[in-house]
Amino acid sequence: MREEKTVKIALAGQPNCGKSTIFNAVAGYKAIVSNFPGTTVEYTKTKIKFGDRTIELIDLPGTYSLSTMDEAELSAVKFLLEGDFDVVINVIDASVMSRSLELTLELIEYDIPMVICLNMIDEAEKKGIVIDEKKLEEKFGIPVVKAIAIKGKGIRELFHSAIESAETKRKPYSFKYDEMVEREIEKCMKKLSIKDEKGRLFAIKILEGDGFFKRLVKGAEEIDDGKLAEIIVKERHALAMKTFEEVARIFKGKRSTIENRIDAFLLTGWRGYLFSISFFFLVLFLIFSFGGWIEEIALAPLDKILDHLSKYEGSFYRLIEGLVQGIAGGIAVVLPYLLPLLFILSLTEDAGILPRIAFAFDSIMHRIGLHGKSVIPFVIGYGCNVPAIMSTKILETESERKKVALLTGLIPCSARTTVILAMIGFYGGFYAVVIYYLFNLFVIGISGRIIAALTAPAPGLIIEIPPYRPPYVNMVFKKVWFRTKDFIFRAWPILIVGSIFFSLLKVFNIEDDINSFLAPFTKGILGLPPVLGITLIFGILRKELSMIMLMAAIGTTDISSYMSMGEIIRFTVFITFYIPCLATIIYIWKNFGGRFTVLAVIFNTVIATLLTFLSRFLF
Amino acid sequence: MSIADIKIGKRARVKEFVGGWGLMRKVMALGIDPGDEVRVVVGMEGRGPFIIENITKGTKIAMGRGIARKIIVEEIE
Repeated sequence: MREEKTVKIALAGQPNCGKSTIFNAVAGYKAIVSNFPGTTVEYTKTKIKFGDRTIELIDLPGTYSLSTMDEAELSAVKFLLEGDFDVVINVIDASVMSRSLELTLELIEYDIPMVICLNMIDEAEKKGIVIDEKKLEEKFGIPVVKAIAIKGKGIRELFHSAIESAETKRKPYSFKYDEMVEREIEKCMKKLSIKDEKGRLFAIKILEGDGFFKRLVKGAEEIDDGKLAEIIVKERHALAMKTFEEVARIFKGKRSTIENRIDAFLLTGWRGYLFSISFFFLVLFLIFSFGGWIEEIALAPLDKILDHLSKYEGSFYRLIEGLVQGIAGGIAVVLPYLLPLLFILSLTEDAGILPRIAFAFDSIMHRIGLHGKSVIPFVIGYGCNVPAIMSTKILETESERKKVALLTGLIPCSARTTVILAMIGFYGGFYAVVIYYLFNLFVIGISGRIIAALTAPAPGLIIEIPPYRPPYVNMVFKKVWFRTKDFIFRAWPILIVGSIFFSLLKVFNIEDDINSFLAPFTKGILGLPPVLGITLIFGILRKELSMIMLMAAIGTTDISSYMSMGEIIRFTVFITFYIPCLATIIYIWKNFGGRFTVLAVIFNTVIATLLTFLSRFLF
Repeated sequence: MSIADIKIGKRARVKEFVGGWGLMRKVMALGIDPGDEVRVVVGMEGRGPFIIENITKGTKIAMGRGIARKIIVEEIE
């Protein structure tokens, strides 16, 4: 029997090249173990069975080049340097091959086993681009496989070829720059005595003026790179164009002018906002109508169990209650809101709608130091903050992701909306709710301006607008499942443990102690009755829980008989703005690490406290 | 003239970039090169970002006004 070894395959390519489609095409299917994007690694991994082999598949972030100028590029470069893989599949969108080959040339400089996948070959042919893959194979010395990933065509051949290249360690031919540059490369290698197999790569990158590589090699700073940087990049660029001309022929294809007309109609001026807002409205409407319906059905039996449990005395029952509460918390988030949202996102993310919305919202988002793309997590946040945090991944830089994550915490999700409706809506009327939401937007705007003043501005918008593409439903289910697993296995268990922890508070009957401990804060600063202290703590678990706890604490559902209108408003303001719920906190932590989570919690709590305190003077 | 000055629908040819090296690399990586034929698909006079079509490469790129001003073009009759 042959010894079975895991083959590690990494997917590298430019944004929108269909890399993730390939990943999802095989990942959703026969997946045995999965890792998820975390704080240390920014790439997605999965293990799959392929024939009798086990493949570990790594999806690197999409990058246009490998210049370490932004975080996605840096994380791809680090991965390639660490070398924990057997082969790299370079995925190329064949319809824009001329500009994609530049990344290919950069990958070749890493001198690693490689396979090229010419994806979306059908779209290229529609555009009149015919590629001779044999010629490309000869030129680079590595296998080239044509594919249409979204239809599953060519995937099998691609992975066969990748496994073979991994086993034979088939590397591409190295290419030469002009004589002058080559002399400098050699000089640089000698001077810094970098002669191992990555020596050439390091010399090229140092001469290119790449800050990351320069920091890795002692003495690299002294190498004069001023003039060569531009020459090297331009030469590589020219070589990519030349290669394209050699291997591809272009016939006059039918170019779609209809798409341009649609774009001009939908996206010019105010129509861009109208188009985007209609899209958001449709998404939110679908999520809320579906979510509310499912939530009722899913929570009814659990609420019955909770009701039943509350009749029994004893610590055991309290712990069980905590367990059920944690399960219910997950169900209340994942089934009704996360699932439909992931479904719609998966359906539309390759359809070309989101980049167009980013374009439409660019002007307005620049006012709070962000660019157009960040509008998407904000809107998602109204449904639930958890998927909103997840969706910050679409932003290019870590600092933008963090800014958006901070502000998203201020957006009232559906759970907080319930509290707002039950408190302000019920006791203040419809217009009070409208005013409250405008006030909320105002606070987000001001906070955005303040954060913008304290941090570096988002770079100017420059993104590709891909063609409109119809979604492929079978891929959508795989994607949704792949992402839902993330919540079920990573966040939910922590939510349940947290819930049990809170029920321990009840078991040891320290509610009163907590209330009197918090009294200086609840009574003194927020101007709320001290019995509400514990409800604010429970709100961390699930925001709508704080309202149920409130009714339990004051012993009546008629809140206005116990609290003044001012107290009701202050309670709602505090609940809306303070610490994001536990599930959100877990996600911030998983995505951005502990220090940032602490910052986010403090940020929210300070804003909530300040606003609640200030509203004492108004109401 | 720059991309920000082309009338909607009119074709133009990219001549050069006048921005910094970092920006230039980004623009090149997105496949905009001197000699390429481009056209503005979406954009308004005076304010807001643009969507331009790179006719030579068959791609579309959205860019802020600041970046558009740094890409110098000449109109094609």
